[in-house]
Amino acid sequence: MAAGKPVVMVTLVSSDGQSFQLLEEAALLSAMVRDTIQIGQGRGPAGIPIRNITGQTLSMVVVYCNKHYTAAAAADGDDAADEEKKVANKKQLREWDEQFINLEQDKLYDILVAANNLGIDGLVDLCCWRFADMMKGKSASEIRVKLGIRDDFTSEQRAQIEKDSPWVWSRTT
Amino acid sequence: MARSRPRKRRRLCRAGGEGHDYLSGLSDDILLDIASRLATRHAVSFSLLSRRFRGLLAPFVRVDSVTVLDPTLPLPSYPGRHVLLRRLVFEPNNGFSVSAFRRLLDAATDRGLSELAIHLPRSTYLPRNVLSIPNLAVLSLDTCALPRWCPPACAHLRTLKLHRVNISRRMITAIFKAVPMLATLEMVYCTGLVGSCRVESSAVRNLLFISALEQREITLKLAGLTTVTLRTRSKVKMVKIQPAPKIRRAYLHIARPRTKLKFRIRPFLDAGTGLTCLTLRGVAVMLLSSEYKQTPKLAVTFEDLWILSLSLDFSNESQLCFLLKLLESCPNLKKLSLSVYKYTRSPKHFCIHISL
Repeated sequence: MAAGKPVVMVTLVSSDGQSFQLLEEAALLSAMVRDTIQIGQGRGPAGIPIRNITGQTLSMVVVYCNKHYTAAAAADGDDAADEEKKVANKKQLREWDEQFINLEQDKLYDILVAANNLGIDGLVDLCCWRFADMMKGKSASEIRVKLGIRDDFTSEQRAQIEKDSPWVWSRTT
Repeated sequence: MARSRPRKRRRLCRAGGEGHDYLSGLSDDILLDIASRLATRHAVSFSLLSRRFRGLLAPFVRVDSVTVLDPTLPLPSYPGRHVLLRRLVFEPNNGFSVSAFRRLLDAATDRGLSELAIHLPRSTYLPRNVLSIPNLAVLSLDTCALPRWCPPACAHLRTLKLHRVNISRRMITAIFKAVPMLATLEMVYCTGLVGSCRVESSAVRNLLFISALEQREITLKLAGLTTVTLRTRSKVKMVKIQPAPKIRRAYLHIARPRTKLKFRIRPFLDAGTGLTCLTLRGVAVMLLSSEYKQTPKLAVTFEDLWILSLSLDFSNESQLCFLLKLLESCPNLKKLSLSVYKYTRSPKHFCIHISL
């Protein structure tokens, strides 16, 4: 935080009425908050109401925004710092991200939907990465069980799949 | 309005399915984002989840076969699309970098490779990941050496062809343990087996075995065999074949041994009542005739035997006796070929072909 800048706080209100205060710069990571502030709303004490996102999920999103804002501010602060340090900081942030997102599928789903609604690209990317990581090395039936997807193929489609990629099918049945 | 859609869809899915659906509720672009982070072979199983995912990821590019001469060159790719590769042939003209080949194998693995053929100009060690391609069904190696230890993790392998491959006994045992469904096995001039070779598996149905020059002992314990081609060389001292009740076609070429050969073919022949085609070359008839010397008649009848091909020494009375005994127990024979086998340096060739 540069000394000259006034500290502006933004309040985000979740669907179940919990409110979270965070620095405006941190909140600007979200495209939706950015839009709302641009049209001149949301700076008041009432805050920005975030529909469809519960307090529990929003608190995680706020933690993510704060961390990424401070990391970006720190990187901006020492421009002259050598490349090595920058790379190390990036690596550290990545590790923190991986720790942060190491969640089970239900929470992960909620955060992904919230990040998508709020328009936080970095968090969407991170959630997609985690979902992909979850699926790696699993057969289709294992993924179906883990993520609760119903198998709605007809027998003709099954036959076609068997023809197209027999090796995959042999692993799934 | 559009922003709240994913949430609503999720609720619908929850109401319809029995479990919690954590994926179908997401929008298409997010699902594609997830799929783009997966290797092709994982993306294929992703597309098999349900109809929606199949429609989303339908445009896979399928490449049937790729021949690679230089491992540093990339595999064919199309921007933004998943490419599936069925068969990879690796035939470098001269030396190659093992680490580049390892990376090539990794890249091919990620594209769902199921057939791999490697033919090197001279025997060189292969990278360690050659046996850890999970989708592999056919593997043929020609003129190369397997590392002393590379973890075998290709459980779906059906066909394994090893021609002029240097392979350790430990690796052979490990492969049979890790590959429960191996149906076809070819071992031609495989070295590195320190004098003796033991092949033990109940799944193998087709076997082609030609012993290397220095091989002394051969043990084949393959109870499920239907087709066998076995050729020994003159330094072999001992052969053991477990009787295979399902055997249909057998070709045995036993070279004249330099020293005494320990090989009893009779138990194998007695169990093979389902034989349709039998070929005995080299000294096989001589060995059998001495084994059946005491028995006036063969114990079994080969009802299905149609084609019989033998090479024997016509001047030897016991071999002729065996021929008569064998013919007596083949009531449905259709074709008989006889050729002369003599231990002279320049054998006189003459053949008789009889169609019955």
